Amino acid sequence: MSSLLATLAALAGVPLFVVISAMALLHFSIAEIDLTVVFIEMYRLAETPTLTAIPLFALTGFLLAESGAASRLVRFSQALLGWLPGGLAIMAIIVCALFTALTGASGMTIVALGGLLLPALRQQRLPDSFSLGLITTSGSLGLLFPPSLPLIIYGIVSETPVDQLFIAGIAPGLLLVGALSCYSLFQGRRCAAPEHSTGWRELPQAFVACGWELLLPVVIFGGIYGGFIAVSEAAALSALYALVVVVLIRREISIGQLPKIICDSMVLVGGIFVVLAAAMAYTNYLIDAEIPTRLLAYIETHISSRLLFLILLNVFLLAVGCMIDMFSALLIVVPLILPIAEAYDVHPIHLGIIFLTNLEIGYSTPPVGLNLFIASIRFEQPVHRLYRVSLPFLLILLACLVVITYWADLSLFFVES
Amino acid sequence: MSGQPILYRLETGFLVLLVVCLLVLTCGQILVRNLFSITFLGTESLVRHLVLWIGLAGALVATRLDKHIRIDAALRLLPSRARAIVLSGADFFAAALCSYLAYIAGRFVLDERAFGTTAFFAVPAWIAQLCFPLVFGLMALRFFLEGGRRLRTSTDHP
Repeated sequence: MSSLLATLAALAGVPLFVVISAMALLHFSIAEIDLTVVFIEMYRLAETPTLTAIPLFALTGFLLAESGAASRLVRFSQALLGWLPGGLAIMAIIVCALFTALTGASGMTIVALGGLLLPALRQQRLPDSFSLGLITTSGSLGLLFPPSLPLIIYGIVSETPVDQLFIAGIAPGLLLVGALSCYSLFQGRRCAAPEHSTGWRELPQAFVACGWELLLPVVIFGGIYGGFIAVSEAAALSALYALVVVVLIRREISIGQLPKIICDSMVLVGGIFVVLAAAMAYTNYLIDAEIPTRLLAYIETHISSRLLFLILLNVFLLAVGCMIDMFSALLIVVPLILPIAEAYDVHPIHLGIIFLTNLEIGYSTPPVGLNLFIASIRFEQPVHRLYRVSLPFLLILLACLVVITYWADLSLFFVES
Repeated sequence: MSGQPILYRLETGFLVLLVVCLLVLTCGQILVRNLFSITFLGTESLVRHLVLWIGLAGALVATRLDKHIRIDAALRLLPSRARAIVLSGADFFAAALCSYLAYIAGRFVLDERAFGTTAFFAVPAWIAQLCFPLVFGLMALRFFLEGGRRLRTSTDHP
């Protein structure tokens, strides 16, 4: 009954942290537990070391999104891949993935890159529907690459080491990028998109031009896996690095503009933070009331095989991904699913990768995937057209999802070795 | 930003100050640790409290800018006037719940004061936790004002 009311409240647009807090308060008062427990749980957030990474990576992302990084990345990939039929489409995919990863997957890719990439693709006489579908579905590509915020949040909620999640995401992330690139190559040949090359001479210049941005992943990776710094410290260094590059070296953002950018990024962090805080209290209730255990007992009586469990998990998560915002989905669903998945012998890190791939695809899944609406507003296209043009890309991504789900070693190979 | 009321500018300024402190402290820590092999006890805890305050201050600003995470999939299908009415109801509900949370947070802080735990250095935990009742109280006020504003605009433009 209370879950039904909560769902209705959430659908009526009540902020999610309010709905979750209300649920927690209601259940604690029914169980006659002192309600201050809600704040004891929220305060526990101040004991989570990885939490520091969230504001700092968010700041890095906002700084890069406001700078000219997007156009430099486009120029570089154009020089690198412009000669290949369909090369521009591949370029678009790689730039989207890279940009999403660099900005921590905070949902800015379509807005920041769409205006640059779509005209470039159209110029190459690639079919309009292909170009639109490509940009729309690539909006959340790269979510599996570090330092994506959803990966960090999964790590916090599931108490899984974030540095291992970062490693686990790479091969599945490359699979998604690779599969879409192959499709683009095929389309490029079929439509005989004219070769467009700014010439190899442009390449060194373009490379130098975005050298600072390309060095950032090196700083993050080198720091963490070189054993010098923790994930949260890598976040601090990358924020400092972005600040120095964008403000002092490139001078693309003035010091006067900084307060607004910092404030904008912290608004995103604040929005995530209160949901996270409320979810801490709610998760505590779930465990106290043994809800995952009871859910598991119920599921075990109906689903006997691991395979069937994984299929249903994918269907469920895709539905979640197209209904709910990614951060909230992680915070609400992970505590419920994690113990159940463990019972079916799914590794927590593999589960994280399955989870995020589903949410990534769910973002472009009709009827209410968020990417579709962002693209609809950004490119002034009716949403139903975007449903249609995204379909081939969605099918490819779904095929990749099957591979990622059933081939656990793809995610776990480097983690375990 | 210069056209904004002084309260908003103070709020933004405070948030920016917290973020700058966070950046300076975390980067400084890395530098000092790697160069001189020194770690200051308590800095770690201060940094995490900074993140707590930043998160809450960000949430307060998010309330003002109407940027809280909501599931708006169903609302997108409604005509704008109906949507404004439903959302104003949602805001009033949020205002009521945040007021109640602020009250509970107040009790929590008083409890902690009685326990006398320390947050970082010599700062008592209850001082560090004052942000909870403060932010939830202010969010309640903002949700209430926002709900009223939505209701007014929905009746102004039929």
